[in-house]
Amino acid sequence: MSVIDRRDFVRRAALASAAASAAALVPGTSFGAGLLSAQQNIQWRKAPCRFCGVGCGLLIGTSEGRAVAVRGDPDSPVNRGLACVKGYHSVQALYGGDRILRAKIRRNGQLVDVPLSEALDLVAQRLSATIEETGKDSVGIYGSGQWTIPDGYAALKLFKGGIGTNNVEANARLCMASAVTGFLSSFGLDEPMGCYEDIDHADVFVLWGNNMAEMHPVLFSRMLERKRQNPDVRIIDLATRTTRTSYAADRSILFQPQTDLALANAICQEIIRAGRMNEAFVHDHVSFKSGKTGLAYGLEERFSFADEAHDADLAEYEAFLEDYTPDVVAELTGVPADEIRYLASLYGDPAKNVVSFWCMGVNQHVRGTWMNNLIYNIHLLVGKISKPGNSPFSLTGQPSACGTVREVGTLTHKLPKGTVTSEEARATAAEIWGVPAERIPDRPTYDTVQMFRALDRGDIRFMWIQVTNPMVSLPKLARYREGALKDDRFIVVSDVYPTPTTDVADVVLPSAMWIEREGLFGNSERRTQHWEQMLEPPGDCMSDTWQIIEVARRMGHGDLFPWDEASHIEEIWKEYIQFHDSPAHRMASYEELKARPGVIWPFVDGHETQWRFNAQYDPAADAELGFDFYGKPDHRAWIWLRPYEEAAESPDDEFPFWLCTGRVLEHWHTGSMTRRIPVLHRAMPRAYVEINSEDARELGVLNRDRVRLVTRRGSLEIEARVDYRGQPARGQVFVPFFDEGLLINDLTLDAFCPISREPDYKKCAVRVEKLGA
Amino acid sequence: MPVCSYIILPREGAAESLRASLETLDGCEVVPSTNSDILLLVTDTPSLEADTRLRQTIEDLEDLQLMVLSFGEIDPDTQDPDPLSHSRRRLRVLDADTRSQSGAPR
Repeated sequence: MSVIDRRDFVRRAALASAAASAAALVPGTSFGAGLLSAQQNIQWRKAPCRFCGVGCGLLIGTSEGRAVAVRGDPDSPVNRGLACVKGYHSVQALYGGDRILRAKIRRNGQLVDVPLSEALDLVAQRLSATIEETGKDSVGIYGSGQWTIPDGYAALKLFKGGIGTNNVEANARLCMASAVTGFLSSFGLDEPMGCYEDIDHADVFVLWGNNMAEMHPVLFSRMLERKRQNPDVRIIDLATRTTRTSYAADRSILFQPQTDLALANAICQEIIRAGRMNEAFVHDHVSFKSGKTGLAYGLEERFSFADEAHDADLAEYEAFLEDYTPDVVAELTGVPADEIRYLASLYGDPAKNVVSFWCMGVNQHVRGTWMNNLIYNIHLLVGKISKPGNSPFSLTGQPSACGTVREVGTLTHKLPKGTVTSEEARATAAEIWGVPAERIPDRPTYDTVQMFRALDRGDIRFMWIQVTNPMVSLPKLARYREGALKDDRFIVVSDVYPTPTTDVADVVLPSAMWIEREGLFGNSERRTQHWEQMLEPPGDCMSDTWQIIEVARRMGHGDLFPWDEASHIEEIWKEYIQFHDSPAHRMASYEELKARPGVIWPFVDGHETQWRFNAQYDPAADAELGFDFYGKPDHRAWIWLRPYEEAAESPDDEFPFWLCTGRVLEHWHTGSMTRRIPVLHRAMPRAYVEINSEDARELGVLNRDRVRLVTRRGSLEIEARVDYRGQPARGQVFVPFFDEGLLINDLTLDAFCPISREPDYKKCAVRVEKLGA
Repeated sequence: MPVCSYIILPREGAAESLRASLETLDGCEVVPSTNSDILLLVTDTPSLEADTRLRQTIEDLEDLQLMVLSFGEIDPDTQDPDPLSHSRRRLRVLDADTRSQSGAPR
């Protein structure tokens, strides 16, 4: 295409996009015959959004081989036609000017273009050679919650079923592992018991450390709509920082970092003291357990920990809670005792349905598993769980953190059904995969942080990184960047744009993105969504699934992937769902998923299970029990006695502030896609540090002054923002992590929850230094 | 050479005058709705600076009520000064310092 033709084409695409958006904005609007013709040439097809874990259904408009427009899918029960600013502009992420179109191999320190087949040959050769030289546990694959379900399944099958190593991890370890271990320890099964429809039945929303207005804007809008239609609905924002969510809430309650553990226990203490416990529910459906306390923070090399559950009872639980009266906890948390009593009254009011939402504030926490347990404790004490409008609900941040990482099981300890430590689970996997059961090792190897520590030490020599950007997102980043750059490490990166992670690669494989290939994602509410290939991938780009299959065939594992390119997604789905063929997890057929805007599992006899563990809705639950927490051997949910324990690192004289990191509305995670979307990049071009206005005054820092942030790990010069969109409490600062030019993770600490192994990105100690003009 | 499209809402009764004003600006193509006051605007400018100036000019028009960006494409030749280059340059320096040059493929 000539330059003039191309510009004309882009102008026509721009006009068609505007016409489509205007028609969505004001239905019935028309723009004359010429444009009508252009609009009629747009083909609209469904796809889940590429970005967050809400899983909004989108309609993608394509014309002449290019995606030109997006609108929310009115048939999607998730978003009912809405989309957020990232969703509306999502297709432009396909067209950044520096898209990786060719495979690259590092030669003499420089990445040079090579034919894709040559790069795939090299990946297979180095993978095989490393296994031969240093053993199968010296190779690994690191993917993400953006892996499609087939991507993750192919990776798991090759590494666990083919090579025979459990060195499979995904970046969801960094964002929702605590939710997984919380679900498993409280209920014995992963993923929420409720669904988004809970929003339409709730009277109270309690948001725990969760800036929904920016991170999950469509669900936030749905919650505000619930309140608009029912003015008595109450939204309570519990946080360490005032955000856009706080401004929309009926009450904003700030607590000191890490003290949410005490706050949750205090709510339970007050519920019992005030006689608001649902005694019948607790008697019939709850067990009490205590675990290990005085835990470490995962900072030791080769860290190891296993919790133990010991039986307890209600009397022991009440005695445990005596340390957490509202008056005592008020002093620790900074939350007035009356506010704690108010929260307990909301949870404990039998006339009110209550939904708790949380996300990274709870999960990225050195006691993240405990915090998940403690929120479940509240709901279990009052029996507000597994029924419409009563849900403790952990939101996810990636489009298939649930569908791929949690359900397929792309973590070191997991298989699609069960864990590698289970002989039965290994036998099931071996049978479906057609491999010897003994090939699947019975011990997990490395969680994500420890996998990169192993890379740094040299215990891992080969790592394949797909669809994630760890050289921006890992905590205490400098160590892991230097580890990846060491001699005798071989790094393969599959991605769509250059990133700091491709900068450390020996081979870069160009990936087909989202609607350039067929795929499936699974969102936060157990909804699986399929999309078809809508565009030809540019250049030599190839789906991550097919890259893995091509390498597997070159290594002699082709028998594991006996499918052709045209039908392999369907074939993978049909094989994969054999793992979940029970009423507790049955999944929809490929044909159902193609036809519908997503299906919630368990999908039994043509019906979605919106509320698990409740026999009224869940065919796997025992009708005689009513509520049946069948994930646990005693068919009860477990209330855990989990105490308050301090953060891994707290402010002191040398580093007097708390550092919290997070996200912003405009950018998705490390920004590698959204920073290529002009409107989003212009709206938020650089990271910044939010400083409390009184702290700023004491430091002599004005809005937009430059400051230096210093921690024990490193330092960063950055622009200060005072009274900006978020306002930290005194003694705290906040920095978003989307900006690869301002790597805040060079400063963060790689402490993690010893149970989930999820790092705490929300709490470490930092010093703020004013810089000269 | 940025190309952008916008949905434009004029102030009440000002659709025709706003359309006329936009059509006088270099780099603007205007498509009016046949049954409402909505205008579609496509801008095609030679540089980011020109794009910014044009947007400012449009935003200053008195007859304009609302302007919503729908589509934006910036050719690689005229991308923003690379917002992502800082860390890559730094890593390249690191690369030169720390990588072994021996052995394939490094």
